[in-house]
Amino acid sequence: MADIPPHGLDLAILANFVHQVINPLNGVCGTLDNLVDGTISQARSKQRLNAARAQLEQAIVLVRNLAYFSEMSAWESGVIPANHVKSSCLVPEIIIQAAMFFQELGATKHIEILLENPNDQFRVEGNADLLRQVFMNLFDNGVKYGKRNTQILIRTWTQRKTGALLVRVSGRSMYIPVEEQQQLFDLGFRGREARDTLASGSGLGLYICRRILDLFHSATIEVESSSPVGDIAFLIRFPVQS
Amino acid sequence: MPQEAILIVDDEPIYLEWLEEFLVSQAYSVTFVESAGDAARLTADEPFRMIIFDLNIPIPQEMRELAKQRGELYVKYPGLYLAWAARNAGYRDRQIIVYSVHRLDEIQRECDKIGCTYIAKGRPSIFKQEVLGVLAYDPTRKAEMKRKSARGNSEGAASHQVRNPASAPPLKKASSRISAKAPASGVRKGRKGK
Repeated sequence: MADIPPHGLDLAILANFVHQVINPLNGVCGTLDNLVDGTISQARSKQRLNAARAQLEQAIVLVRNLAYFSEMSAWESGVIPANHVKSSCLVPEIIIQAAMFFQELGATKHIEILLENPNDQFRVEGNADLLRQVFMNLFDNGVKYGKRNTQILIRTWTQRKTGALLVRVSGRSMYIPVEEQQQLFDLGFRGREARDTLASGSGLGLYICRRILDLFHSATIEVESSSPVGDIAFLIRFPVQS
Repeated sequence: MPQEAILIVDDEPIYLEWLEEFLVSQAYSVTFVESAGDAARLTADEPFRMIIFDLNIPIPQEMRELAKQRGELYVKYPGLYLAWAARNAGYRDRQIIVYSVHRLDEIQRECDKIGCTYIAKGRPSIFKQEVLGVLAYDPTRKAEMKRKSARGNSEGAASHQVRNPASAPPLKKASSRISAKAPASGVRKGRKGK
């Protein structure tokens, strides 16, 4: 876990964040530059603009994480902004909305995002915007670290014994060693390989996921990474809904 | 390998498609590789007009150990190690570009030492200008002109052989090749230029 200096700003997290956000923005800027100077032909302009939009949306997800991070201490002391009030959230709808943001990026690596049972009308008490951010962070990771020609599969079901709603987001990316699995949701934590380089992951996304699920949905999230080939799954457990 | 081939080494090629489009519009062909292992294999086996390295490309453990021997900067910015290895595999200074998000003095100093061009990301129009500036200068052309001039001044005098890095394989030092096995799945051949 990262050390937070007294002023509350962790420079390592900030440096990683800047790196993560500049990459898609640079991609957008380069595409626009090519459109302006005529490098991109008229025939390809729509396709390239769509790709740029996908990169911009990815940057927005990252910036939203930083915005939520800045609000977090207020959340923890019970100050909840008006736009984060709780209501009944239709889970499959939120998952589909989040997945749509990453379809374009996923397509570049031939990664499909599939919801197994989109017609199930599961609802949980919480905040739709924040819950969407949770799934967007998971899909962002899934596409960024996912292996080519694979699927990100989402399955929702109710646990018979407890009545809890479970959502499982699985894919094929990198193996997370057992000793790192518990730390994955810590602020500023990045995998062993990622720590040695500046580029890989901001260390914010999964931390935000855990805090949003805990504070606004009384839900938990855990990771399963059981085989060295890189099968990975995130399991979200929502409590029984009243 | 076509004369105008350029290799881009970046684990997130999607963000550099604009650069591929630009280079293709300038009549170069582009090959992307997403892993350091693929980059090592390709730079050792095939000649490229230019190689562009992301400084933050992840490297496998065995290569990390080799990078450590060059210093911590090479571990933190593995692209620097790949650039150094490519230079030792015979690529000339004007054929190697490294880039990162931030412009750092310590990297600039190391690039000066290795002999390669260092560009910061963020302003694609400047990036394009700098890449074109590098491509515009071909040291072998200068040598060729000198050779022709010498031939003109002294007919019949033996002229030295000039290797063109674009049309002939780079000079290789077997001892400095990077050894890393990696699947070729991360290699993506880009569109060919006009």
